[in-house]
Amino acid sequence: MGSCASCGAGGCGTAEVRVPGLQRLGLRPGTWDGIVALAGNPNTGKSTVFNRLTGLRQHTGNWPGKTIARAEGGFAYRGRRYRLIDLPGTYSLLSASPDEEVARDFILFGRPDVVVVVTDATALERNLNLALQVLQITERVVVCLNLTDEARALGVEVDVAGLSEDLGVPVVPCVAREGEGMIALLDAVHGVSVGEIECRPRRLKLSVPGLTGALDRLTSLVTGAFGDLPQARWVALRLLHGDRRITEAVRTGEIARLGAAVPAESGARS
Amino acid sequence: MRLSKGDQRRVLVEDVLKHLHDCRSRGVSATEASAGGALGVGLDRIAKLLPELVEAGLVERRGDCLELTVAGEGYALSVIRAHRLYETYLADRTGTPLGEWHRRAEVEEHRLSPVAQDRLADSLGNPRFDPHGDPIPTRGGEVVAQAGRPLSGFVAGEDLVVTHMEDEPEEVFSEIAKLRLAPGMRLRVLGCSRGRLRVEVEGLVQELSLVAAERVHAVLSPAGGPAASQRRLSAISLGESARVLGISPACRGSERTRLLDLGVVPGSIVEAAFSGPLGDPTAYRLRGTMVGLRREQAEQIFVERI
Amino acid sequence: MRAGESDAAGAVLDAARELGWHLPPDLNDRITEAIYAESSEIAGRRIRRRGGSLRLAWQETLDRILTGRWTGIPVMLLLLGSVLWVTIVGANYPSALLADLLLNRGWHLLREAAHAMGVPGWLGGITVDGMYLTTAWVVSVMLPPMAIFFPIFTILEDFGYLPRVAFNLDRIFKAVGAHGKQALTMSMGLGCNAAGVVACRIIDSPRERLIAIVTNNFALCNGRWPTQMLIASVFVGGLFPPVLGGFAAAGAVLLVAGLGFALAWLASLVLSRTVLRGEASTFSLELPPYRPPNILRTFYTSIIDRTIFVLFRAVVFALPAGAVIWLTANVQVGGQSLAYWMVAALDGPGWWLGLNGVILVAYIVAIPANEIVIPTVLMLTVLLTGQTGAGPGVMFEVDDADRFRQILAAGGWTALTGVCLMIFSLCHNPCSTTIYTIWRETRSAKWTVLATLLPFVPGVILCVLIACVWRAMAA
Ligand SMILES: Nc1nc2c(ncn2[C@@H]2O[C@H](COP(=O)(O)OP(=O)(O)O)[C@@H](O)[C@H]2O)c(=O)[nH]1
Ligand SMILES: [Mg+2]
Repeated sequence: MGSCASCGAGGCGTAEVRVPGLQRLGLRPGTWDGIVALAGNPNTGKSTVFNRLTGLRQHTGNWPGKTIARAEGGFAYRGRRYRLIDLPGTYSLLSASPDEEVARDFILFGRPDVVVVVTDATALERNLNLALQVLQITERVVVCLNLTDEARALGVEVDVAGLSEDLGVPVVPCVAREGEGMIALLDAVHGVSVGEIECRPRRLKLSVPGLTGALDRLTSLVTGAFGDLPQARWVALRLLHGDRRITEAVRTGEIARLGAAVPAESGARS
Repeated sequence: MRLSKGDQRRVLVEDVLKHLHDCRSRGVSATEASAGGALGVGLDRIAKLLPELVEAGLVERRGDCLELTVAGEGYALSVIRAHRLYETYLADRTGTPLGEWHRRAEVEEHRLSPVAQDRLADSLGNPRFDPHGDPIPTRGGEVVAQAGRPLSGFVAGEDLVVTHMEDEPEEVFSEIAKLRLAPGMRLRVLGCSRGRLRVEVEGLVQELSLVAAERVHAVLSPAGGPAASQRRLSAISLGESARVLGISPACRGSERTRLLDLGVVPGSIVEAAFSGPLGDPTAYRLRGTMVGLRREQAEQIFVERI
Repeated sequence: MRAGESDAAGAVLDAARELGWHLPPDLNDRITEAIYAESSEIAGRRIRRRGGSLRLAWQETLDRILTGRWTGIPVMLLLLGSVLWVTIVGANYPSALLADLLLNRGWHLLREAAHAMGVPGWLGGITVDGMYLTTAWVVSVMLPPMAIFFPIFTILEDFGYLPRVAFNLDRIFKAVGAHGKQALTMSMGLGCNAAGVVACRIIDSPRERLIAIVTNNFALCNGRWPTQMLIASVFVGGLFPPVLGGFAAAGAVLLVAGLGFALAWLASLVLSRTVLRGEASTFSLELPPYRPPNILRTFYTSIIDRTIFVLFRAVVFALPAGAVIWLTANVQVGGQSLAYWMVAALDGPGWWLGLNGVILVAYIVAIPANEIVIPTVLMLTVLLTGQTGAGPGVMFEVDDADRFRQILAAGGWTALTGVCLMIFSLCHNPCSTTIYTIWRETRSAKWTVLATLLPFVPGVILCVLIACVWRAMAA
């Protein structure tokens, strides 16, 4: 892993815009108080955000598929230390292509405290497809509405407050390449991480004939067997569809781990 | 790969049971000779094996004829289940070319234990049919009934749905595979000329030999045939827009999920924007993004003109 | 506890099986459709578009040119050619400056310092003549072209041009049963083959991914660009009047890079007809909108990230290699140096390839990192022809390209050697990092060995052929 980090890095790096209170910890965060994962469609600027916050030099570039393995780094903000994970781009959490599985597995089993979904403001429809799915498996989500400069140039205007209301999680407009919006993004991450901001993620309606009933039944069985998992409904959905990783996790009982409370204020996890 | 003696024997036992099942479902009687012939095995080996099968309560003799017992039928179904599940697995989870599915499943069917079969089934979402449209027996040995008769038996003007395609012999199947037919596709018989059957398959006119048409099964379509406005995306000219109706059932596995994830879902509007300097691929505008698709793939996407 | 758990799990899975039986078989389609319906609804409510944006029109025009039927491929060649030309012409002056600074002055200074401090001759030899000189050569030969090439390449990358290259070339790759994204992974390989091999993960189909991995080495990597550019300007550019020299050299390098793509194509063809038989699978590639790059930042970061990184790697390998080279040139066996024997042994095969023993020895020394081939060649030539012994100041007082020509001419080089070296530099084993990466990505000794040895096949054939024809024509 991480060979792309060592082999050819380019694009965004050190910032001229200083973010007050942000301390870039580079590769060695040491101990940390929280894990933050960057997820999103390919080419939305995840690695750019990652480089901004950690001071590292992940490969960035305008083509889908640059980040193939996940990269890790660290930053500290307002006295809390975070481990930041740059995930490969993924169009969806439903499919099982190998690079997308890395992202899906981490969001689910890596138990990040906060998932930042980096979205492309110029193609919101496609990006929301993923954001909505992420909201089904974790509550602690911040949506980074990136590339707003491009959106502006294309004449696209996004009602940020309304979007945030629809999704039930904070939405922060950013221009990651120029460092715009990073403070607000960090504040949102911090707020969600310590519980100051409460998320009420939108639940999908999924109007497929017969699905709601089947999901209700299976969800109650899942919670009965493995405790009150926050993503029980999503697990049930994946079981109905036939997801190798999830059926395996149910069989081995690994799925119960998802329910264990994330120790939000724990000192050091390593 | 070399099999141990014990494994070789088990493979032979399972192949004999499959043959007996096959004979029964075709309504012909099975004999030692038919088994030897179908499996390409010397009669002496079959003759040596049969008393053991009878002893084990899997096979009964009725005069010259051989019949499966209830236990034997269950065993045969389990092997068939393994075969069809594995083909589904190859189709959906690997990039294995479809010509190889059958051959590889012939090997794997003898290796998958019932527990492994269940796991495979769960991880595939417990499919009901394999990629050829053959029903996959359930864990309890139930088999969904399969409908349909050969395509060559329908007359021009009839609207049909493909239910099944035979994967043997290989040359004929490769012709069917080239047309990318799949169970679930709607077609209309246009007519027959010079030994070839002309059909309109989901908006695309295709021809197939009568031999191949023998091996494609279909039923009359309850919901009528493809609408007149239906096209394949590949037939949309540059600058035109179309509304997605769906993705061909022949497009499976990661290829299908990738298209879905990119926004190729019913109702999406696609516009053919431009094509590459060599004419292929073509870039399509879709849900606010630009996606390049090869011709073969655009052909898998059903659209209607708007 | 465990037993209870697995019972519960079993019940859940049974229920899923039972319930799933009654749901539509195309569940995944329906779910994706439902989610898209919701995102479409939200987006429709929360987005407002002002029609007729200038940016959109501009992007459409660009696509018409960059992927156009008549313009797409010529513009692609023109772009790559100009990048090479700018690099070759632009690198000349700083290269000469660095060479003067590091080789001429720095080397003399260090020699004198070592002498003054009374450092024993062999230690001074290993450190100053061996390690320092090799490293100085690495820096002066490699730094300037990289510092020009990488930023331009990164700007093209940030702009969004790379996916268009894949889009333009897909048809060609499809014809040989390979994946269109192979054009992308090869473009990555133009930077670094190890990165290119890792990038092959974006190819879903295992068969096509293997083809892309095995053939990635045919993309000329940054360890080899400087070799190509230097040899091209000395031996090809030198054949033309000075005004045209730069164009001729850039054209020659472009030709070699193009040959690399052609060979990758051919190798893919052979592979997908033999050991990796199969049909071309699918291709879906998102073409992101062109985004105006932030030129200043791109320059800054690509110099820091790529250039310094690659240079660092080269220096790390050059230091020990320098010591080894000096030792082989100075350890005497049977009245001659070790290097003499090695070079003598390889001179025969070298002759057949249109090369010489020094070059082959250099390729063996440089297996860890291709970057040090040229410095090693120069070092060995200098040491073996006794040019260092000629006294301080003798060898480094001429202009850059001329100096190389003089050193190499003393080693018996001709234009044939230059041309064959350019071919051989394209077609030989990948560097050790790439070999290791191929193994890590494939976990297979078979494919790693194949990928390592495959490039030699066209390399040896082409070199022998060129050498024979050349000599026949000269005679
Ligand atoms: N104009 C603009 N470009 C950006 C912004 N954020 C990232 N980019 C560029 O978009 C491209 C993709 O970014 P990258 O971080 O590699 O995306 P990833 O695939 O999500 O990791 C790069 O060329 C970035 O320089 C932004 O806010 N505005
Ligand atoms: Mg990235």
